[in-house]
Amino acid sequence: MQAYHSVWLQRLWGKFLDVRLCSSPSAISPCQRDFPCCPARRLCRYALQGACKFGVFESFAAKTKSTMSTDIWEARKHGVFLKAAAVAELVATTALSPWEAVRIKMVADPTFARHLPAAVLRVWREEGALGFYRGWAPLLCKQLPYTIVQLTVFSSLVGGVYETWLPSMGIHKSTMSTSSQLAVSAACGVVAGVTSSIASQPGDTVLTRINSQLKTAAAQAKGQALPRASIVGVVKELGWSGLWLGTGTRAVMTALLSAGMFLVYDVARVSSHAVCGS
Amino acid sequence: MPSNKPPAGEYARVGLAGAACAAFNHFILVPLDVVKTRMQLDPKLNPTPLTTARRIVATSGYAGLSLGLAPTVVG
Repeated sequence: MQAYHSVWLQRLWGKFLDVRLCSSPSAISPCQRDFPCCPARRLCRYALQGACKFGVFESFAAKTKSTMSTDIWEARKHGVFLKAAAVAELVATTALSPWEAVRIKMVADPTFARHLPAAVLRVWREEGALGFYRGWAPLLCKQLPYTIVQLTVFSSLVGGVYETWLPSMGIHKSTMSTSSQLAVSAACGVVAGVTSSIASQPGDTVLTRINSQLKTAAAQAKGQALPRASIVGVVKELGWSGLWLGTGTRAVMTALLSAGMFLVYDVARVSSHAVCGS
Repeated sequence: MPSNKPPAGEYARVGLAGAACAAFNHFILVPLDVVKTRMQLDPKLNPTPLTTARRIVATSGYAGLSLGLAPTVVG
């Protein structure tokens, strides 16, 4: 159930991590070549990552909650959200990393492989298992702060709004209409989106630069082993202010993305009857 | 309390939401993503979001905002 809904959740924010072979700029339209398998491939990625991220987060938090009394849970829940999000993203990134490594190769060099299974085989043959985890660290740089801040801020904020802020004005969740509950989710989603985009901005800039370098290298090397992209090297080159390039634009994008994502998540939660959170 | 079984039409609703989101993505979020990525890759040429968007439209038309080089680079 969780995985099914997560497919749609991931559609929302998955453009970040999209298998964008459809929009590869090479001259022979890869859109035509890859079109039949593009949506399926995307769906697989979203399902995989969404199932990992939300599945692990929910079950970790719910399991911890069930072992605690209400008082202790209230005192410790923010920390639990934080840990649950970190574990969830670690699992999700590890699951996503092989896809990402293969995707970059295919996008950079259209002659790399005719289809995904062939590309996987070729990476395996040429670089071994390590080839699939080349992009793991840079991906983690962005995804870890992003997910930790996003899920922690959202969960804590929604809890605060329903348990403290609204009751103080005499409003209770049980008496609220569905649309006002959705408005709460959207508003909290916007805040979670902006904060998480700021938290992960340096990681995003590093990842963009590294992917761009890898892409250029892969295009030149035509399938040869790629040089190791260095996070430290990119950070040195950019400097402190360079790490924040595009912050405003990305904050707007992530706010919209995040609000939409949690809206759908709400609908999905009601129907999938998730245990944790509100 | 919601029942254990999802109400009829719930899947259709989630599906519709997903479809709406995908469309939204293409028209709003992807262009933002393209602009952001250009700014990160070449800050000298692209100092602000507005100048970046104008540059992209001027060089590759509106299609450049959704199908440019940038999104293929984004991880």
